[in-house]
Amino acid sequence: MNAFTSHKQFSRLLYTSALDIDQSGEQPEQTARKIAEGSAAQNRLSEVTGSLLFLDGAFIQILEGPPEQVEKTFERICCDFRHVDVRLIDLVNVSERLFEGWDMACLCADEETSLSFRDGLQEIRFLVGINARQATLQMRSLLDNQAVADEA
Amino acid sequence: MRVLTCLYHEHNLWIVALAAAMCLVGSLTSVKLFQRTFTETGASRYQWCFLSAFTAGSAIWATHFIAMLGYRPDVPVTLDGTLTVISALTAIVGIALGLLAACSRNRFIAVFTGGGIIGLSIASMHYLGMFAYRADGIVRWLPEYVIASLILSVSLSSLAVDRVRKIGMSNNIGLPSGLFAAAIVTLHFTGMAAFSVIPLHGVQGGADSEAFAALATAVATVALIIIGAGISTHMLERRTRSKSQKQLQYIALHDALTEVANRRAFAEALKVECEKLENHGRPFALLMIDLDRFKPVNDTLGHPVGDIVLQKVAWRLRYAVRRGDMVARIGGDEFAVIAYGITSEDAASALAGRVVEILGRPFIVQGQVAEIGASVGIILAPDHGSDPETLVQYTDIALYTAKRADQRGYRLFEPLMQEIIQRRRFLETDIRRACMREDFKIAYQPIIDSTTGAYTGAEALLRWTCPERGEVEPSEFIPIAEELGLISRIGAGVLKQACLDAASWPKHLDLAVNISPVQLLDPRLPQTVMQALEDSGLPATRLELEITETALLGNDEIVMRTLTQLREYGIRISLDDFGTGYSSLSYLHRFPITRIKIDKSFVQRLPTDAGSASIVRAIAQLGESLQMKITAEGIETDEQMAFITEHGCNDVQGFLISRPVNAANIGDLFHGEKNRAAA
Repeated sequence: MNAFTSHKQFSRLLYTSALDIDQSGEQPEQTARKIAEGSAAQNRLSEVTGSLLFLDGAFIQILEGPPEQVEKTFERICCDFRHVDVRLIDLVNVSERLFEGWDMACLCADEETSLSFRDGLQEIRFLVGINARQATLQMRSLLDNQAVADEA
Repeated sequence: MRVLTCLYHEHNLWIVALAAAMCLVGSLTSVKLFQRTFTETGASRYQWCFLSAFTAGSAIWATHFIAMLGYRPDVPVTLDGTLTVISALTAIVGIALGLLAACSRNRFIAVFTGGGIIGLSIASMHYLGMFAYRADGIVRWLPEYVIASLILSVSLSSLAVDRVRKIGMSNNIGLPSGLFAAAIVTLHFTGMAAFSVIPLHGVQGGADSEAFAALATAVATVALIIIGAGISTHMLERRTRSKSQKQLQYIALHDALTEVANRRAFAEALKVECEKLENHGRPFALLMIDLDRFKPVNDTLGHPVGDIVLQKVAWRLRYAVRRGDMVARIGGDEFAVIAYGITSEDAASALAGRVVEILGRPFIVQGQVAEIGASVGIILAPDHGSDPETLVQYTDIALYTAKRADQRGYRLFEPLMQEIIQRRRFLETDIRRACMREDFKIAYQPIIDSTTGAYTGAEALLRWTCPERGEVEPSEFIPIAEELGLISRIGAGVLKQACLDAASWPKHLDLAVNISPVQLLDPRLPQTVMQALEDSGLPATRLELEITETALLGNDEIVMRTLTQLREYGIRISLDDFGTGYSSLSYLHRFPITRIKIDKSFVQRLPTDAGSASIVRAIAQLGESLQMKITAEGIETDEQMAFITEHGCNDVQGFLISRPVNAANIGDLFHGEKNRAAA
């Protein structure tokens, strides 16, 4: 069964990559944020939602949406030379979105990031290598925590 | 002179001007249509001939008729309708016939018959028209002008036909149109000069010039409509044709699947680039790209998915190259890039690096993931060559080298690569020959018991001395023999000979023979081994087959069956080069292995290198607990020997004990020891 014949209507994809240092200039965090903003703008048009994590030059990105849109978005990402070492970690069919409401949430660490948040990111990065699904859920809960923290 | 005075004195100049314009437009259109008629073939030639004749005939007739209306004799004039219509039809039919004749391959027939008929049909039209023109006066014809008009019309028409045939489909139609117009005009006015009317006394009044002008305008309009229809048919047809020609050209030069340039377009572009290089010294780089692991994608995910992957590959390549570089698909999974203006190896390598990077990223097609990769061969023109053949050949060599390298990626062409490939090609031929002549020799390296120092046996090693190239290392020729599919045959020969040699050794000495992974996959191996044992009389228990870990990878079932069968015969199996490959402990457990041979790379770093020392110790302990024997290979110093003995390796071999020796010497060595032991 592939994504098109599945009764589950969405694809969720997780990949990791690294920022190409030669291209990113002096402020990698800014580049990462720019990438997240650009992708959010694109995603709004293509019904793709997801989250982008950036920590110490490494990206973890989740894309979810209609299979063909996810496929198209990932293909566009693969044509982007701002990052290298692109690895597809997980591609599953799901019945509902986990990042509904986030065109592209940015979980990006910079100088002002709190230590606990940074720890959270670190944990997700570690988890990706072992259990991608768990890492995905963790990203979602980190976003929820962040939202709560912002409100408070 | 009479022609000019006739024109000036007896004509209404406005109407004459209209006739002249008619004539000019008509001639240009006619010539354009004649061109088409001459260049077309088959049925469409007749259709064009009809259209041309109809348009040209109408134009000529209209010219004549309008000019006639401009003629002002001082007598009453009436027109005979039937004859007028017949005169128009005469022009059309005559020109059609003339055109058909003018299509002839024979220039003489075409020009004189075709041109002649056209010229005469213009004349017939004119004089028929004149008979339709009834003037109430004394009509006089001057025969010399009639004859002159015929000659002029025929010769000018012939010249016009000749010119039209010569210019083909070019747009340079001024001269033939002029000639054709001249044929019409000169005929008309010379013909008019041949005609004169003297008014009769008592009959009054000239022609009704106002009515004539109206009639002239009406005829001109109708004729222009006909001419317009003719020329627009031509234009329309030409536009459709050039559009479909453009489409055809696109199809001819582009790959239908990926829409990048195809092989032909690539070859042409490369040729053009080489010419530019020669004329203006413009350098460029050529990249040839071959996809890795693409066949499995086609095989497992299906060709439709494979096709989409190829489309995405082409798409990504356009991102990887610089603006203006040419991407072409030159084979099933082969692409090429012509990168203009690249002069440095660094720039070319950077580009190739982008290609390798972008094609190494995953492809998702319809929910399926295809992981392929790319190898790239690069060449710089003019650094390494400047003609298309050399460039393509050298890029292929670089690509071939890239493809064979352990680490896939890109390779820049180096002259050395050519030598390596050349040598390989020669070796291939030599190995085939050696295989037929059974030129391979066996050397034996003695193995001793590490505690007693007594010989326990010897390992048979394949040796080959190429008649042209001298001694060739097994590490060089064995992989080639494997690729050529000759290794089973060579291996069987070695096994047979080694068993024969070993049968003459003292009974307590064992023989170890290497078995290549390819041989191990051959289900006939147990049979071959048993045949060799039977022929030589060597007991199965004295034979040990050495296999490498790579042989155990993948094809579990077949290998397992073969090894179990061999083991049942009493033949022992040892795992060679242990520690360098995957060193999977599950292999030791699953397969019926009786001995581990520690790779010499560890032994040679003993005893100083702590890491190697621990590995050797660990393997020795592992062997002990799994009840396997351990052999240490590559012992070169006494220190190594001491370390090995201390840590419990059962057997050792290496230069310290003995270099590999030939069959006769090993026999002497073994028997000498026996004698010494007996003494």
